Amino acid sequence: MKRWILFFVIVVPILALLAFGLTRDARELPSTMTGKKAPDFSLKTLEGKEISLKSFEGHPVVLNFWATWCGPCLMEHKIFNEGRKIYEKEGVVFLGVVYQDKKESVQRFLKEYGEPFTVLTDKESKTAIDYGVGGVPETFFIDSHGTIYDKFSGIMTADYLERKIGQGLHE
Amino acid sequence: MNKTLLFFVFCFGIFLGVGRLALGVDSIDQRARQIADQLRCPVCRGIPVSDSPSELAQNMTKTVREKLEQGESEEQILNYFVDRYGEWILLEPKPKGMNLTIWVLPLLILLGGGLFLIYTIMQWSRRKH
Repeated sequence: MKRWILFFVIVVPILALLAFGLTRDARELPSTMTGKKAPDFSLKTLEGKEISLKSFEGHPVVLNFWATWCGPCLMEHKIFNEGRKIYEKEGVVFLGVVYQDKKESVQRFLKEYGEPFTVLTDKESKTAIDYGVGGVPETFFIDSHGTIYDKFSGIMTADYLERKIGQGLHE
Repeated sequence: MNKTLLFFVFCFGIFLGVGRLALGVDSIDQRARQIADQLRCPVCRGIPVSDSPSELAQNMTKTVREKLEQGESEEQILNYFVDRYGEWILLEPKPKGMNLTIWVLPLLILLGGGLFLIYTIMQWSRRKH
């Protein structure tokens, strides 16, 4: 009898916690940035042209933090290339903020794998910190009113991109 | 005599001024360090931003320093990071809401364990007698 009580008091809660934790997708954990106004920034492109987030008001924005030294970023690069081809015509803006990288490496990378977003440089990771970025790749979905409605950490999938852009276009 | 005295007063004044200036610079660095000590490095996770060699942590410390120079308080700076990263960015979460379990649960377990131990010892001694 006592053993059964011990089983329910100790083993069952541990199993319940494990069952809950292991069925969650860590990449879809809610971010503290979701639902907040996207912090504005003014960053330079590789050509030195200054671009601010505010200038895209009225358009949904896909904001990706990436680097050439990041393997998962290379894996999702193709997804964004395809995504840009489809959704840019519909008014979606694709921005890619380079995270702790060298200009020459970025230029070489884009020449080889294509340019799925307007590439912006971020001195001293100021914008990355302002968005709570802890590593790359991280993608923020910003609606036409400038509010972050989703943050995704990890390798982007075509399905997820389509679903989230659709959500932004219909808001 | 008067000239020598004036010279020493002048030197002492300069020494105080330079010392104060140096102390002022130090205090910003010290305060930045104190705040960075409370922030978890998002790259290394287990160590504070102040001890992390990662570029992001170093840039976070720079951000802390800049915010101090702009006149922001420690609380405002910590809130800035919590707003962006969530409460896990604090190495010591604030003792409120669900966070209280971190403080209360060990005490409850200790208390429960102690009571269980007393109960078991009492059972043993009863059996012996």
